[in-house]
Amino acid sequence: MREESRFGSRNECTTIRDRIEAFVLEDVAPREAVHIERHLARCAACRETVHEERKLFALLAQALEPQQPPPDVLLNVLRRVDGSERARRSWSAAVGMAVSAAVAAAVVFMIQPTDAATLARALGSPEVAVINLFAAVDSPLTSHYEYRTQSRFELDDSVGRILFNVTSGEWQLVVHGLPRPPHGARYVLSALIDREDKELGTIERWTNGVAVLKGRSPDVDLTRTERLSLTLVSADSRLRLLESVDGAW
Amino acid sequence: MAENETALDRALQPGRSDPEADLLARMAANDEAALVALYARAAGAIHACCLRILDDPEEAKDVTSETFWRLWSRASSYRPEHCSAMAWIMTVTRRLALDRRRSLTRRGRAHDRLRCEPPPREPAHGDPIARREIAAALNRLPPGDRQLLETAYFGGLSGAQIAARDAIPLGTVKSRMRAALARLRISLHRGKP
Repeated sequence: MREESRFGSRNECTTIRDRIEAFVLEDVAPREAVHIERHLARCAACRETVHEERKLFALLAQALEPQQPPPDVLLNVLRRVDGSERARRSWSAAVGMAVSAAVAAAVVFMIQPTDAATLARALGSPEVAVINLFAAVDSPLTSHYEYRTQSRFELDDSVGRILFNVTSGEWQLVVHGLPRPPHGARYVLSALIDREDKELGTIERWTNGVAVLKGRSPDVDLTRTERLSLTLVSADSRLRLLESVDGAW
Repeated sequence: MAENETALDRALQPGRSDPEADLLARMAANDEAALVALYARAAGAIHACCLRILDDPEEAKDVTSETFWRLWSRASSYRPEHCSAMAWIMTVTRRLALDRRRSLTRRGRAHDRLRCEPPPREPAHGDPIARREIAAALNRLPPGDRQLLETAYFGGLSGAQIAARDAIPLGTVKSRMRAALARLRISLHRGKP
């Protein structure tokens, strides 16, 4: 056959070398690619040439000025990784995840944060107590004796609200649609005050797509906060994910 | 030892200290923190490549996300003895971005949108020293060389397509490409301290 003769043993290296740029740029037909790969498997010299050219071409991309993607790119990847990991662990876990995701999605879509009773019925989880507290911010029974305020996070389908009690310094953040943090990483809430990021705390609980952070920062005057941010922190990286879009303190 | 020498050597010579390769190995073992770390190091370069090829922020964003998913799910297929991790990562990125562009072209959507504005600048990630040196090496090439390489790499044009576009024989395209790569190799080594 013609293909076989093109890659005959006598002039094999010469023929392959003529096609290496096309091979590296993936500009060869699948059948020809298989032929070249077979040759490379037994020819160290041609293999080295391919590696060298692949490296040189890749440098073209590495020379570009880096462009940081929007933060929801990472969130989407983490959601997908989280989903695949759970599916990998067991089939039943995968079923559970689908149900949980459906419930969480329904909660995000249908329920206002102040609708605590509906939220409790939908979630049926320990987070309800926390969210009930959060939801009480607009309750006429509590708002008259405590000054509380909220700031809002918004990023695609990740939406969150923070509640801060000025008197006690307690704060609480609930974010819907946030993927579970990867193993070895954690979410950190920070407040920008006087041009300095002050770390307030890390995530406490994450269930069914609802992340809950709460803490007490009596030494930090959160009323002077210019911006709140949520950062994903691991041993070797820090990635800012969410920033408050309104700071109505 | 100058710090930038190490940075360029890493780009040129697989097998030397390669943090991205270490991260890929950890990702192959399902270490999710390694994925976050790789994102911190490589997202800027990957997204820049997607923007360059696709010229569309939304599509570039989507392909960047798809690239990280691919890197995560196929990290075990990376062979450090073959090439540097960044070379492999950019090969995966380019392939996905070109596939997307071809798909868009087939659907008649390519170039319908305005040229993208650069997104707000974030703190630079990755290895700026190595990047600057690589860019300098590219800048030392004759303009025709660089244009040819970039047309083939980012434009995804085959040798035959370039030959047809420029009305020159395919053999000439091949020889020019080979000569451009050889000059890039020399230029990279000439830039080393």
